[in-house]
Amino acid sequence: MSEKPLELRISVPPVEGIEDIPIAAIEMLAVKMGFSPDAVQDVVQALTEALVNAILYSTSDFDVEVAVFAAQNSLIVEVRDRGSGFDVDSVPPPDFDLISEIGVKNGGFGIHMIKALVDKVEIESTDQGTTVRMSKFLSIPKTILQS
Amino acid sequence: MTHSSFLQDELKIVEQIDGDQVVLKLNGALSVTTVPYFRQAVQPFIDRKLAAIVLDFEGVTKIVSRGVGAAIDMAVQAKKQGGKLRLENVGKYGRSLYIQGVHLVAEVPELEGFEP
Repeated sequence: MSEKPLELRISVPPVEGIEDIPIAAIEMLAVKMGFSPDAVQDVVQALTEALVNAILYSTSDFDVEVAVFAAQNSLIVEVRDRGSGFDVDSVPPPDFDLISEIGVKNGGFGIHMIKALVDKVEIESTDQGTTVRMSKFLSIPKTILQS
Repeated sequence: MTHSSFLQDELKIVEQIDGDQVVLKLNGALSVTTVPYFRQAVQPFIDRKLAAIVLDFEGVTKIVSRGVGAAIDMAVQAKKQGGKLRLENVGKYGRSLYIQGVHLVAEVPELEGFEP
């Protein structure tokens, strides 16, 4: 097998509930790459958050695009939407003292969750759309898809 | 976003009342679609000021941060009413719940001593 990273692309329409399809594919890929069950769940949860947001905030019928780059020691997943974007720096970390007092009336802390679950997160957002790039690294590389 | 009936997430909640405590068994997805129902189904038990509301996560197939946020809100409300919220059988979702600070407002036995 080539040393070149495996590249996979999946496009889904911005339809509620469809995120489970690319998530299932990437979950299986992460398992085959040798990630631990906890690390696989981290990828699944981070991807769930990114895809749900991409679908939820899509303002057109353009597909949400998922690009996956799998190498021997890393799994990189990009989620791109064509929504109206957001100011990445305007999303504060959760204030747990305040939350303990007043609760959470709307939404959650998806960006915070993504940042905590994967090893590296890059977010680019403009009024033409948002790309969330998440990287998870294997501590013990395994030759992918050879098992 | 558009809606599709055959792809839409579902959540069913089965209640078991035992004295001053209720166990709510969640079956399905705790997602953007189902969070309004989740809040609506649990709120009456908060309003009844029960001593404990137990959310059993054994049948949960997916969670999103909005669902976790709703659980946090329920825990804060229950505490203000003199009761408590407990999450059981959180399994693989433990780390996500911990990251969002659920253990700070609710009892989560599986997260006692948890190290992420």
